[in-house]
Amino acid sequence: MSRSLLLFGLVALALIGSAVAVTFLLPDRQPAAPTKPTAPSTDADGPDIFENITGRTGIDFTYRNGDEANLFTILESLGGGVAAFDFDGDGKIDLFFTGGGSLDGKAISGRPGKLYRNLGDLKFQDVSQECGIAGLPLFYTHGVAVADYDCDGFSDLLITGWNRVMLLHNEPNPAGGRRFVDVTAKAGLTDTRWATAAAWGDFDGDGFPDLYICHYVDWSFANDPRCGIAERDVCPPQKFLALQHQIYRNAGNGTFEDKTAHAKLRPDGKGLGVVIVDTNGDGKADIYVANDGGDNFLYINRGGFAFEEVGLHAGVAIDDNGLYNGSMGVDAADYDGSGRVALWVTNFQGEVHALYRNAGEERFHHQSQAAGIGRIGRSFVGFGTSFTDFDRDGWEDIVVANGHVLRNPSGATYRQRPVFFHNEDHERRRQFRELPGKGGAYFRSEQVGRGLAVADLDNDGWPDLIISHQNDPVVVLRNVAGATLGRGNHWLRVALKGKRNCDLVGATLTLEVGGRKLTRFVKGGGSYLSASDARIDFGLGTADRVGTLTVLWPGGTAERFEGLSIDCESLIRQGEGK
Amino acid sequence: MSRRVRRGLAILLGLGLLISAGWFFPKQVRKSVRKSAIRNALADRDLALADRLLTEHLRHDDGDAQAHLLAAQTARRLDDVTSANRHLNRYRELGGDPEEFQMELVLRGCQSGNLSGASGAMKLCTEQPHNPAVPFMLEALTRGYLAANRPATAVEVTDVWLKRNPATGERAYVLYLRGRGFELQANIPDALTCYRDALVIRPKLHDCTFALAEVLRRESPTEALTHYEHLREAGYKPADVTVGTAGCLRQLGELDRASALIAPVVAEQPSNVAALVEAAKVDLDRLRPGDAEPRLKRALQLAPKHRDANVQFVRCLRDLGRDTEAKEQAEKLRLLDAELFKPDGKTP
Repeated sequence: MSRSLLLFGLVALALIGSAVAVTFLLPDRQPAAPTKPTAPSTDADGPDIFENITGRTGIDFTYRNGDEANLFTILESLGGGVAAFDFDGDGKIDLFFTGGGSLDGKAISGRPGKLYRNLGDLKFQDVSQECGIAGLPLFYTHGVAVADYDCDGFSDLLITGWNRVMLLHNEPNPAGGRRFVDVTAKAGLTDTRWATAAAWGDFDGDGFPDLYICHYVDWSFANDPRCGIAERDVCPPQKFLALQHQIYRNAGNGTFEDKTAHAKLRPDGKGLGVVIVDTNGDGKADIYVANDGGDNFLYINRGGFAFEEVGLHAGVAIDDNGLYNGSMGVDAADYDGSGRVALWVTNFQGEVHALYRNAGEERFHHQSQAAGIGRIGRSFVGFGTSFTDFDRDGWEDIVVANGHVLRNPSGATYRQRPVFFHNEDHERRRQFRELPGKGGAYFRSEQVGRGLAVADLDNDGWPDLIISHQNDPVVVLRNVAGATLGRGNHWLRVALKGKRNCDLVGATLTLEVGGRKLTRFVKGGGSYLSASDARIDFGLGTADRVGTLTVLWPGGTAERFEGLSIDCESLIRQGEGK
Repeated sequence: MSRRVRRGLAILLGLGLLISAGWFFPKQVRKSVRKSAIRNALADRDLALADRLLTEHLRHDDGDAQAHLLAAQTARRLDDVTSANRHLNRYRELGGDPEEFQMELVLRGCQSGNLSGASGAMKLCTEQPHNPAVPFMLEALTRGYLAANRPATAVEVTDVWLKRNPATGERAYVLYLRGRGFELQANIPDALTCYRDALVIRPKLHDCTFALAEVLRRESPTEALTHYEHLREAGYKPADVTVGTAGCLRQLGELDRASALIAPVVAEQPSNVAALVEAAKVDLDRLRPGDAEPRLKRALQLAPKHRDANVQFVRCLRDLGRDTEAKEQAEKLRLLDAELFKPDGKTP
């Protein structure tokens, strides 16, 4: 028994000792804290908003940036654009895509763009050959801007790119139809610097659209530093000097006069985006420029081709941290029913896209956080973008095409998903809430998006999307929100016609509907390297009738139009209102 | 005597023996157990536990000079200067090694950013990698380089430290400091990787969770909120966590909630600059510059060179339509930025 007792005592001692050790000496076991990024909210179940119909449109086009040469030039980072415009006057929106180019050693070559004619029923035909696009001189291209520069009733094209621009006049084709003729030299647009975004707008009130061209940086193969930490990658714009942007006055006789010095444009912008719109309601078209790695510019049109750059003072040059951003895409709209135009800029990774709410008197408030834009985080690199009321509820939504410029980005991916922000009411103000994946299959995929245009390709009243990518085919997304998010909503479309076909950029339209006033703006440029359908749309929500449409024409005269029908397009001619 | 009674008596006897053994457990054995526990805690860099065990040990044996040195080092690493001084002085009183005493003073200097003795300490670390004091030195050096705003060198020291294959807890801490080094160099992706790796190893390294949340507050406020919530539950720096949470909510557009959260902190801590600035940002986002102004003025009184306070004050004055003052303030900000401007051309 004594041996048993001794054994028992020793075992008990060991157990107690272990218990004491466990209790007092070992650190507490702790549950794991979450360390993985939170997935985006998926609180928007339901049917899609867009349907990818590219395969059945007949459109098969890919912008090429030449990155297969593995030269990692900043040239290849920009990508290309889309123009949505009715080139033949048949009432259907046609499409033009810039082609980009290739790099071979130190040679930079261009690739042809393509023009697709809208045949109706969402079918398109490549008409590049018969319309003269295929035979144009080649250069490495980026952007496209649309305007009827000679006021002949047909839209012309300006194409931008590496060390030149090209002005294409839309004229009758002796073989029938229309064709584009290179009139660049005749027009005097012979500058040989790297041109990116461009926008048209009548700055001096003579009816002819004038031209603003963004230039980027002084890169060339002679100034091509090696960048990247572990492995070579594309250089940031900070490695280069900015190129002076240019503004041209349309003389009305087919030629353009360089008014850059007269307009006192700032010399320091690395421009990638530009939108022309009347920001202060004075009836004159102002210019907002998105610069990559520098202050954004707001040029207020003071008349007589005199501009005052007020970006910093107005609060639209930098973000709410007092820092400039790497800005690419840009647009302007009244997103909150204030009647004033807000400015929107898509930015680089690590920054939040900027929403500048217009407070009147040439003042803006940075409202990205208040508007919920911060919810998507800061890993996106945003390019093409548009304020458009896609679901016709009367509030402008936002769409952004994303994709990195670095091939091996840190903390982000090269391919990125596009973002669709729905404009909603929250805390008694307007907010943008991403509907993750709700855009449809395309919005659930990752792309290297660049140019983006919005156009109602089938004239069903619901605006569609056309997006250009780096080295991947363009996509055409049909808006099916009429059967989903916007079911039961109505719309009204206005096609504006100026006197003698004069340019109407800078006009402001206000429609009374259901106790609200919806304000829309005639803009030049916008998005990124692209041009959207110029017709003005109003989403009406469930309202089945509208009141007066007031148009404040460029120059400041106003006209009222009554009795407009809903769910159809109306032609509004300047001078025919009350 | 029945079998049952005999068994009962045996149990009672056993228990009695156990209690007696426990009561008279040799002092030396208990001391040895404590020291072993202290060693384990330090090896795992559980400094709070080590501090507790050392205090307990020294309560029984105040004459243990080596334990006082350990306690001084531990207190220093916990930033408890008073306790560190007390233990270091006691170490000297007890005749501790003057060289050890001197080294501790050097490490204290290093840790606070006075790097005059850093090269000697680094030399010792590389020449005598097996010296048990090396981890302490590497820690002091890393923290010192961070404090002296030399984050690249701090990261280099962590390279040396990680090559020693530190124990789990220590490794988590090295990764945390390494993340801080990357963060100070604006290398956010690498900072995030380090913080996340550290938290996989030691989920309750609250300093690291806080650092991660602070970075994510800008980069990914939705995720940051979850980390702040963990910290709030753990009772970690309540005011700082509330400010961070409010910042996330503001970035997510939840201005009403952000305002409700930050207002009590500002009321209770009117000298909390971070809280004042965050509250002012919420005011500005709510288009209430009049509410933001006094908060920003107070913040700038307390911290005239606080960049964010200066930035927001420009914004506030502009929103109030006081253009002349806004321009003057913008000029102040420009000068401040010039002072902070980094040689690589990046705006701070």
